[in-house]
Amino acid sequence: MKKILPYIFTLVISFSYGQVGINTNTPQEELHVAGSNSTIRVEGLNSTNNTNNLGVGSSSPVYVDADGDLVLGTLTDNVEILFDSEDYLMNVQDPTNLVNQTGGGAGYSQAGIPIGGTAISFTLTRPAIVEVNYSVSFTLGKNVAPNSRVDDFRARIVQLGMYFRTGNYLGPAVVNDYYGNPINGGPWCITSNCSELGGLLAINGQFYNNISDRDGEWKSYRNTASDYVVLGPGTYTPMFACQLAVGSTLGTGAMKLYLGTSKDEVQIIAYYFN
Amino acid sequence: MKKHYFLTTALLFSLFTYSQVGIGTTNPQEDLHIAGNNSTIRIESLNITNNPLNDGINNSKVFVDSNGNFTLTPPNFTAGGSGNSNLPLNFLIDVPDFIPDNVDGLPAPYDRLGRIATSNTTNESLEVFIYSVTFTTPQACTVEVKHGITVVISGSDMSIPSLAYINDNKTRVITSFFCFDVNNDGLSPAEKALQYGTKAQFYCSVAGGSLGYPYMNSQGYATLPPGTHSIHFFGIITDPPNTMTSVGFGGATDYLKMRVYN
Repeated sequence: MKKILPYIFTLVISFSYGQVGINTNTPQEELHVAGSNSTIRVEGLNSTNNTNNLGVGSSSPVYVDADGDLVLGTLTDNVEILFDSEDYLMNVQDPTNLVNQTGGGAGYSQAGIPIGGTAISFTLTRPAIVEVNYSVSFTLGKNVAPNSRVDDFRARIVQLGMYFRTGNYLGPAVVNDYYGNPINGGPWCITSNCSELGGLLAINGQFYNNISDRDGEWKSYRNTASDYVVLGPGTYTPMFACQLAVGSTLGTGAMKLYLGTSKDEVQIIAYYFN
Repeated sequence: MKKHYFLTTALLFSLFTYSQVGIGTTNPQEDLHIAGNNSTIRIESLNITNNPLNDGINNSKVFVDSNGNFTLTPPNFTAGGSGNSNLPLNFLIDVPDFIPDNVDGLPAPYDRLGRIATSNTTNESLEVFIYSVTFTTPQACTVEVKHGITVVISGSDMSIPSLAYINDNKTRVITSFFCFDVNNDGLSPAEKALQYGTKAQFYCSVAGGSLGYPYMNSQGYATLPPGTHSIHFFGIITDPPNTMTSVGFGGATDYLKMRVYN
């Protein structure tokens, strides 16, 4: 028995090799698995043992953690829904979401404050391709009341774009993307007196027209759009700039639009860099 | 005892060749089979200490290189690079204002009308090629397109040049769509027949309506082979008989984004 003990000792500790080859006598790496169909099976990563395995018929991305251990990616390693708001802007009719009609030409006004105020933002820890999807409600008319609708049958454009502010909704507007290029070839004036510039995303414009001040829909509209932008690490808050434009303002006269008066959907999705 | 030392030394320093190896199993099913519910492999060269691409906060994606070696280095990665050099595997092509604002070289104030198409009083429907953009895909991929095209609508032929409010109360429809020219060798009839992202909206007004820029937004997906391709945008004007509709596509700030999933 005395003679056998050293062997057992050896078998236990001897899994420390310089290089190990499987199917090869000349391993080129610490562990070299040779053979044209060679692979490695790690049971800890299979669908039985690992809930992040996407199962039969699908392959699952492999990552390493801080220790260099192979792990399967969780949902947020690749793509992350940072923001999924069912009603983003406050449902009010007051100066914070008022857009006054402009004549022809550009004249965006920032409009709407997020429900939740300064607590609303999202943070990117790494550069990402950011996808934005929105559906934002609006109401419009002369006094935005049932008996003062648009009645001049002049086609108006309701134009809407999203932009980001750094930090919370009171922070400075983001003009450039991660590469330092102006977002969408902008920037745009985002206040009626052009006191601030912002990079507009997912700009959408549709027409509105009506001929009777007592009839015709004047609320429940939505502008909907989707876009991509590459952003660097930081904290951002989505905001909106809107324009209500008509060529000649001589008809019904001063018109108003209130943004976000009903439910608004806002989604921000990050696709992270490698 | 001499024999024992010799064997131990041999075990430590020889190169070992196995056909199949099991760790935690005596019945390996692959060349290397690591059993156990929580089993994994540790590769120290990929950890936070040894590999600058491992930030220790988020898991780092593992690739294999041409030798089959595990690596954290993504395709086309430049160490210390920034900007486009280290794009994600699924990258983004961003072409701001992709339609020239003054295709026909008209004088001010008619220099922001984009591609002009006029459906005169004899036409009831007119299709026009707006613009094309060339792009390259490194391998077979699925491309996602999101775009917005600005539009200006006039009741007079803008190419003259002129601009006039539409004032006839008649509704007309403006449509846009796009096609892919695979290999950028000319848009064949078959390629033209595959129309993506069709968007249409109406316009109707008395005098004093809009001479500004609403957006035609839409999106679509297509699967493409590797190579250089182009995306072609078209517009359609549909209006009632004896009606004049002149449309400028792309006179203001348009946008075009293409996500390449490869």
